[in-house]
Amino acid sequence: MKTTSDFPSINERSPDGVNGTGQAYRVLIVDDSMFVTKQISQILSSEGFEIIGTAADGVEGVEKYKELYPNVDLVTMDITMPKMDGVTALEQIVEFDKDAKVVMVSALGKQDLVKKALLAGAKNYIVKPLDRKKVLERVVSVLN
Amino acid sequence: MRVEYINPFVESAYSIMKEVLNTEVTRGDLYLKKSSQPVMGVAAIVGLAGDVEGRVLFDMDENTAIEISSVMNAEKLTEIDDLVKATITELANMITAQAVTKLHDLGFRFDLTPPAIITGQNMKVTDMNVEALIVPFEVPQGKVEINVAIRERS
Amino acid sequence: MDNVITDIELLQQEAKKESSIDFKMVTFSLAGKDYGVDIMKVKEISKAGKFTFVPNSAPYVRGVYNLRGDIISVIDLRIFFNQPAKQSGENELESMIIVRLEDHVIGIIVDEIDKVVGISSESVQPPHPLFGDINIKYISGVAENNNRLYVILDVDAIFGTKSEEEESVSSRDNSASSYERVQEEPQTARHASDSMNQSDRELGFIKETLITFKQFYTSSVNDAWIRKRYSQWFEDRYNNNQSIQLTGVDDADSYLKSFYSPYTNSLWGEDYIKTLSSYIPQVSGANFNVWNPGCGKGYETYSILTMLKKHKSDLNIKIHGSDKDLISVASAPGLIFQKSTVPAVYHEFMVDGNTGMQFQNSMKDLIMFEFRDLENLEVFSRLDMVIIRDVLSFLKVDLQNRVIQVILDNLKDNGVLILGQNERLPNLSGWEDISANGISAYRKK
Repeated sequence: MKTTSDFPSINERSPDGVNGTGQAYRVLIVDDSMFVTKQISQILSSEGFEIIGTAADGVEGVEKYKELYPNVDLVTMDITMPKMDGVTALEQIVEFDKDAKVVMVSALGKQDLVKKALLAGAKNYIVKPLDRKKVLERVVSVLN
Repeated sequence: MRVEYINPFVESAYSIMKEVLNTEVTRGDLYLKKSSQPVMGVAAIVGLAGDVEGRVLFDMDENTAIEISSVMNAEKLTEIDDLVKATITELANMITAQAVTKLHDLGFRFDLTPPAIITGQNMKVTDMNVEALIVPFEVPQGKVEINVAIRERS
Repeated sequence: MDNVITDIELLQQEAKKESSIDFKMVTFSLAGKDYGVDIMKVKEISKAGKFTFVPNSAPYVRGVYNLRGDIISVIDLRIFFNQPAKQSGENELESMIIVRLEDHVIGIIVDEIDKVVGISSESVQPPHPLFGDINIKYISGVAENNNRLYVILDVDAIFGTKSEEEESVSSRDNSASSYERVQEEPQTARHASDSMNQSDRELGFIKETLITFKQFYTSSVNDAWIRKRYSQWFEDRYNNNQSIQLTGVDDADSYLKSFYSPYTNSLWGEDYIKTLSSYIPQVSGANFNVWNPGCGKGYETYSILTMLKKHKSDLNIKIHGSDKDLISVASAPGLIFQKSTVPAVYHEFMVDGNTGMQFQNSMKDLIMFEFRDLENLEVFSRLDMVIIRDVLSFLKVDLQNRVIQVILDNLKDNGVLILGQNERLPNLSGWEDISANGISAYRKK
């Protein structure tokens, strides 16, 4: 006989940002737009993710990743950025850590670059405008 | 301006603003203007390249920029700070990107250049010697004018 | 003795009146009396109704009205002057004169709009205190024409922002100076002379009203036609016992009916394609660029393309069709034709669809339809041919000249310009007139 205890209730559901052992996933956000950085941080923080770093261009993104490694679980990477674009930064991160989990963040109209990024090792992508559901769905699919 | 370009910009601006502001958006009549003209106070510019050259300018007054940014950030902002500038830039980026995607589907190849934002009173944009299409929108936060100037590469 | 002098003066005035028409007014009636307003103040005349009521406004404010996007206030002049105003039905249209004040435009409702009347400003008498119906400060004068007495209203005094004080001191002066200004207008700059005859005067009014009703601007581009047309018009109207003057859009339309070139708003017939094809210039390169301003829905542009495909199929053809009417030009790329209306010469370039015939995509790719206003002229790529039929005449005169200059600057040598059948270039410097067979054509020297 089934009892309710077989099913976790909504209230007991662990937040998306926490792994099986109760530890928060650590995220690095690379984006030149303060607005987008803030938007992603707010969505992820509210689900228990820990934002351990942000970077405003590709060069800084690669540096931060190397600095934080191995204590970083996920990177969100904008595609169009000054100094170094997101695809190049992705390539350099993957070269450094072939298991890096990078999710690309793109405006519409950059399909070719998104494809290039996926071939280069990006695990998923999100197309702007961002909303809570879209961001969480893509990020969680990469972590599981 | 080539007539096929018009609708993608009008539709994208309408649907993105409706989505990010979660509100009713009213469009006014389209019209043409000399491309050199006063700017209302805050203007985000996205450049276009590819088969064409041109730019899309998102023009609004300071108060409208602050109000729109407040809604998009879900917090009350009070001045034109870096966050407001980043927010308006992003809005411009999203609208132009969606328009360009629609244009790709119609067979037109456009690339975007990263947006720039300019603020201040009594500014004028004098760029190419190209007539601009004005798409005026009214949202509860104020008036937003989208000003599209595109020239075919010959 | 006094009487004698007065009679002489009157006779002199009569004589002057005949010889110097320098003030024109739009006339109308209010409660059975005749009034006029300076035509220079009148933007247009229309029938309108269903005004949007404005709460808490003065009783004479009938509401606001959307005049092609501009919101204007509408004043009922009868109520303003405490005259009886007949109650209009829900859907009844009323006569509205749209007047241009110093900084805004308003509509005024009157009983009936009559016509345009020309008089000599010298025959205008000062307002007489006995015209009791209307406060004297709103009247700039009184004039007689064809045995009718017109009270000339000073719209600026009525609705303008001038202070009351200034008004009462200078209303006479104001009206006097406004007569002088009219004379300076190039359109009406006719110095008083005995040669000024009745038909010139009538024609002058017709030209004014063509601007008002059809935005048709008379200039040396179309003056020859306008004059020729006038003799026919005069005869027809006179024989039918109708007014020579254009009293509305319908009159203006019928005046201009024979102006338009063949196949306006339809595909050109095979005969016309053949005639016009002899004007296609020889080019040395492989490209052939055409500009077709005022393309409307695109009938003309598709016709030009078909003509070029028939006669210059070896060239890389590119046609720019442009129009400032967005609705028309936006429908041009997808224009659908009923098969029965399409001449055979087009069939090989078209495809059949569910809803009708369309041009093949390989044809459409050679045309670029653009939303464009000639006011904001841009630089063009080098053009081989410009086909601009019946467009210049609907531009203000200075813009006509600017457009012609831009065409001259952007045409290649030996490039060809085609105007409407009743249009001519005002001056031939830089051009060779090659018009023949009912085609108005010019080659760049």
